[in-house]
Amino acid sequence: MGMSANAALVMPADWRDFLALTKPRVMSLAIFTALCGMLVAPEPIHPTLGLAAIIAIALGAGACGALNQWLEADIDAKMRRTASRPLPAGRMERASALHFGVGLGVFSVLLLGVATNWLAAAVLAASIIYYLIIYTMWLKPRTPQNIVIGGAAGAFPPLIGWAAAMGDLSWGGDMVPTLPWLLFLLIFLWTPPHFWALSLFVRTDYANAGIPMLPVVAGEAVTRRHILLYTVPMAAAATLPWPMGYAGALYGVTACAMTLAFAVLAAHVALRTSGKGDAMAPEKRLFAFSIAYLFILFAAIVADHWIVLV
Amino acid sequence: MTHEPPFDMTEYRRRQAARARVMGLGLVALAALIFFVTIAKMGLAQ
Repeated sequence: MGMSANAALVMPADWRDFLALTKPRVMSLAIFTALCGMLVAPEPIHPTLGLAAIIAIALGAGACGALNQWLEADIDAKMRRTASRPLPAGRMERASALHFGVGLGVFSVLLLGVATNWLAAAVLAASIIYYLIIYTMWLKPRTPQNIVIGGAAGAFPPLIGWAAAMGDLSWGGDMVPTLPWLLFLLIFLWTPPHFWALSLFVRTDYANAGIPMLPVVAGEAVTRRHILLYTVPMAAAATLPWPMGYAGALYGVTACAMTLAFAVLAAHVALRTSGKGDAMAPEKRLFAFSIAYLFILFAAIVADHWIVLV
Repeated sequence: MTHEPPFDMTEYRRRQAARARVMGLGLVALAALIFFVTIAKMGLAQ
């Protein structure tokens, strides 16, 4: 091949960069909570269709990650935490990320609709649109309350899992929420303290990128108070399945113990101020614990459900 | 004046081949998934 032909060639992105575009670690939480939503549904789903549904939800979450990185490539380049992602690092063309994300998103919705039902597919489509348009494009660059409202985007997976198994998402009579909506509420109310703990120790990154996260706009003290404040409704949502009869003592005791530990860590973060060169250990501890918290609570509700069945 | 490094044709071919392999495996997995979903749906319909 001649030199002129070589000069027109663009190095294609490595397949691992496409995988990185899907944010596999974030995807794992969506997959797990969707699986739990599916497993606690009273009607068991056919295992093959359940597997197809989980693959579809994973692909939908991957599409969100890819399109989020396509939308935020300029912002990611300004933040140390995200500067090495495929787009800001220059390892991939923007158009490739867009095509990959749109293709993955459309395919995930079609697969879920074909494998299970179109209600689940519609909720998956709504969650992708909510995450990209309401959260990423609209709220995130405009308001420090971005993750309070945007948190709903990450709360959809248990609803989708339940809808895939049941084909129904009714709220329940007398304004009493059904279990999938309680699980939705739990993730929705867990998101603010989880993300604000992160934003406290990557505050400079957000400030450099011009993202109005709470610590950047309102300061550290307000953020610390908000973390503790939002832990209260989260605790209510986490423990409610027990008194409401959706779960037994296994879940109830686990939820109470884990929520107490969460509250202690949140209180520690709320009651301190950081000095110069602070390693922000309590904030990092709360962030790491909050991830384990959600995994353990969802695992406990499934275990509780299966113990009753056995 | 800056000199661009020569285009690495070996790396270019390696990435093309790796992507083709991953795409091929993905398509085989997709075909298998659609097949088993169809069988499961037919079973449920009966």
